[in-house]
Amino acid sequence: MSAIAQAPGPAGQTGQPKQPAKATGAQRSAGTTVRVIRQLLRQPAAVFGLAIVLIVILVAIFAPLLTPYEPSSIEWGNQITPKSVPGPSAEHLLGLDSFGSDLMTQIVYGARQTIVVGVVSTGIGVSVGALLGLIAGGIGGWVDTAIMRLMDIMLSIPALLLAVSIVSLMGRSPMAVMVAIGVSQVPIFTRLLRGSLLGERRRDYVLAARSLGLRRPGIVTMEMMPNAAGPLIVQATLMLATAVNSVAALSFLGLSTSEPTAAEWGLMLVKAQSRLVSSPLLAFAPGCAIAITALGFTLLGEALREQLDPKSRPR
Amino acid sequence: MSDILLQATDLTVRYTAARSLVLNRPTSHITAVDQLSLIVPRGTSYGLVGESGSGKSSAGRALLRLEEIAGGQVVFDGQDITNLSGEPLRQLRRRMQMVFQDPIGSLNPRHRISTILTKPLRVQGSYNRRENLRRAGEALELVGLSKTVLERYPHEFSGGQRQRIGIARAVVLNPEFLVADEPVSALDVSVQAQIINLLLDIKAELKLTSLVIAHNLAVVRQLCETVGVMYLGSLAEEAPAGRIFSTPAHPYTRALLSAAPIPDPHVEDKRERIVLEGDPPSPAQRHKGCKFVGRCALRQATRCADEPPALREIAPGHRVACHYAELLLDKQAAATAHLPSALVTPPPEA
Amino acid sequence: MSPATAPVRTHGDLLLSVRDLHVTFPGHTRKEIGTRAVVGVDFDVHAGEILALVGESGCGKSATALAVMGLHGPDVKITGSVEFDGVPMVGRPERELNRLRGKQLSMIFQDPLTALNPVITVEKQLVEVLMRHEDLGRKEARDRSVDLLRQVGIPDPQKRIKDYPHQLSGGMRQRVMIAIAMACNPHLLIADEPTTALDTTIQAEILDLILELATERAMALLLITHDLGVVAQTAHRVAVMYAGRIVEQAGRYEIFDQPRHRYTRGLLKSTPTLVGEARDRLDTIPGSAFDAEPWDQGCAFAPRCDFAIPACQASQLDLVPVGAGGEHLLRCANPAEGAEQ
Repeated sequence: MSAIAQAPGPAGQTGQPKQPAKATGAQRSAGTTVRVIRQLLRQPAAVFGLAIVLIVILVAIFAPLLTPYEPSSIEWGNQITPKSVPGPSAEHLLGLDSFGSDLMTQIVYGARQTIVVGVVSTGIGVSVGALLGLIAGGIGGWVDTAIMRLMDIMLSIPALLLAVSIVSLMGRSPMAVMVAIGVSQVPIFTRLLRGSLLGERRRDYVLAARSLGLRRPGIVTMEMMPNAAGPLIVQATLMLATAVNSVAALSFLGLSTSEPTAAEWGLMLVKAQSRLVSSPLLAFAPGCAIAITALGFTLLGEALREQLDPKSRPR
Repeated sequence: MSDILLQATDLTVRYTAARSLVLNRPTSHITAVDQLSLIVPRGTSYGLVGESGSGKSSAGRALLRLEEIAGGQVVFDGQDITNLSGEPLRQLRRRMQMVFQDPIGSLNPRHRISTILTKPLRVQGSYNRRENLRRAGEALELVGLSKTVLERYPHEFSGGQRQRIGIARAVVLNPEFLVADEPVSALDVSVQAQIINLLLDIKAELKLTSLVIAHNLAVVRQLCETVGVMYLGSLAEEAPAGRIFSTPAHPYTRALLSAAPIPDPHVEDKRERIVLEGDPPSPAQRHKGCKFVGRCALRQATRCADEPPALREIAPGHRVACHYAELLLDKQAAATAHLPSALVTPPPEA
Repeated sequence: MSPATAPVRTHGDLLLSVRDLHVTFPGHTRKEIGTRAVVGVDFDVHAGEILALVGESGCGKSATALAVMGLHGPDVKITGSVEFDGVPMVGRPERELNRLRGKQLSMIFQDPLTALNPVITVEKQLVEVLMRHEDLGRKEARDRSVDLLRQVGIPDPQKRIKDYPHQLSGGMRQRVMIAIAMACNPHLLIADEPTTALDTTIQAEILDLILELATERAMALLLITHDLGVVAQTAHRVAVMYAGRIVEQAGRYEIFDQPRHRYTRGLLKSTPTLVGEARDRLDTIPGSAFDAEPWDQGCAFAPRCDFAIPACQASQLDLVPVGAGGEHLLRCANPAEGAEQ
């Protein structure tokens, strides 16, 4: 491409049209949160993603109301033969699983497990990661160097390997899975927040705050954080999708629980393995659940990114 | 009470240019401000002009202790503030404030105007919310905005209005000294004039002493009594505003003046431009003699390259760092007279 | 140097003709009406002429330039006519535009660091344009490139040509931009704030260079700027824009000596200057163009104008000739007298 043709597009130039006319008063002064939500609801993809996420959350909360059965009840075990598993019927909407539990019930309760583990692990990732990022970006110097080198080391270990070693250290339990996934996310959030803090540090409002005599911790938390938090929220939403997959993967590897009848999407995939050909629905149902949940978080995250991070807005 | 509010002596500011890989230790430096000495008398405005990389912004920030000072001394109202820290430094902040170039970047986009304007008061220990809001409202009215904007966010305002808010933030603490770093260069022409007038007004009203940093000579002429021209971190020339624009004595000042576009075609038709050779050298470079020697048409073979010119007074209040300032002035006085041929080194072949 | 196919042009031929140009940027949502950046602009540029389009940010000067180049994105709505060399440009397919751009029509931008590709050497960027438009071999193109760099005043061009844009100073980068724009001897060069990002001393050199090259090659120049000083130095004719329209257009001396529009006059009076008596205060125009509404009814400048009369609000204001000669065009219901300043 010639230099002429790569000329910056109309939007990036000083020829910027007048900014939209300024409305007055309350309508415009509505906080950022309200504005972002209002903008989100105008994007079909965002609404779709939000709907999926809300449905999964509602299903998780109201699981006992949605199904008359217990998730780990194996009372229909006698209907299972080595050759076949009963398919969908009026009594069991998705049929039974290979242990004789109601498949629908397992999916519904599995949502609970997935949401809890996903949210808690991402919560761990965000809070620890953001704290480290805040320290690194806020203090700088050798502290920054030390933290970032540590993060580099953590990033160089494959996330799954890291998670597996943490679980084997802590023993098999849902808690271990949460910690494992959370820890593997830490470097991502640390780097992200540190990066945006460094970007904010060069802006004049930070200098202005310093010229007022504001102390450094105050500047970092009160002035810089609100501006640097946008990308963090976006990344957290996107990481929820990854966490959903990681939860399934760790369960699939048998690391989350020793209880074979636990309602766990990843675990359900394991149990479905031996019957993939005869009863594909056993794998298909939890597989879909995982994919749809991950899709919901991804759509929502991407839409949020577009709102909170104007740089990524396509022209 | 002395007549000098601010005095800098041999002020030096260095930036780290490179760090060691392992321990992140600084390994090389750029000297942004190189032994700058200036005096700002109480109640006056000092204009610091120069091109990008001249160190004028670094100097302004160092005077406010917003930049680490590598050497020299800053005295504010008789008190040495060079090494002040902690609570005394915070106390000092109330008395010296800053107005920034970028009216968008200097206001925190996530804060309402009320927060932006009352924060200085809170930081300085005034926690009465009603009293703070009253003072914020007063500051807004002083800069020509209405109190009603307190609940809005920065993005709702035009560039000129934001700059007014920036000025309101700077004066809400009723400071004695104000550094304005390129206060109008990001604004449109018609708005520029409003802000220049506003700065003149508040200076008179609050009896402010100020340092105005700008690349636009005409802006400084409008705002300041004294003008200092910076080149690569040091003062090339300093004189009362009336004098420096009529009788510049440093070849760099002359080139700068001759290059500034003037909105009058008749003047432009007659003007002779002094073209400087090459680009400004990098501040990382070390200079044995005069820093301007590489671009100066009047340089003399050995003296300019070897001996750094001192900033010396050639007329009351007029200081120049050039060995041959008098010759330049003589030449100006008798426009037809030529410099001694020994002085004029022909420019190298282009 | 022009290829034989290009028509020989004499000074004064009509080169670019813009009529009733409208540029509307899309709104953020589908329902929102977009931002009307240009609302009915007419002007001509003749061969070898320098026309300055002056105005403050948001007045539509850059949007006009990009519309002439056909560089607006597909979501920007453009109506009206732009004829370059008798050929309509608006609505032309991208491929045909590409054949013109960089060859007969070139543009230089405010910030050469973003307008030059940062990962490609100066040589590649130049050679590519030459090979594409001039049908030269690689070696010839390279020789020509070195030659061009020399012409735009880059010392040691043999060496500099190997540099990446970030290795050059701001002034040198702008020279490279100019070299690329000049590579094929365009008939019209559009310069959008070409010196705004540069230091004062460098700014003067670059302006001189552009003027010199334009004169030497009888190239027309459409100069977009906010700086009245730059205009006074360069332009043959000046068009002042406000809120998407031209409000006054006249020759260089005329516009500075006898501005008739209140906005032009206000701009001149509010500009601080180095010549003449120092003034205590500057004259100002109240308010800002930021809130200006486009020209739906009457004059968009009226709300800021001290001389507004009822006619300013009511009438449809056209850009009409005033005075003798028909060169001075004005869109104002209550213009200033010609003589006094």
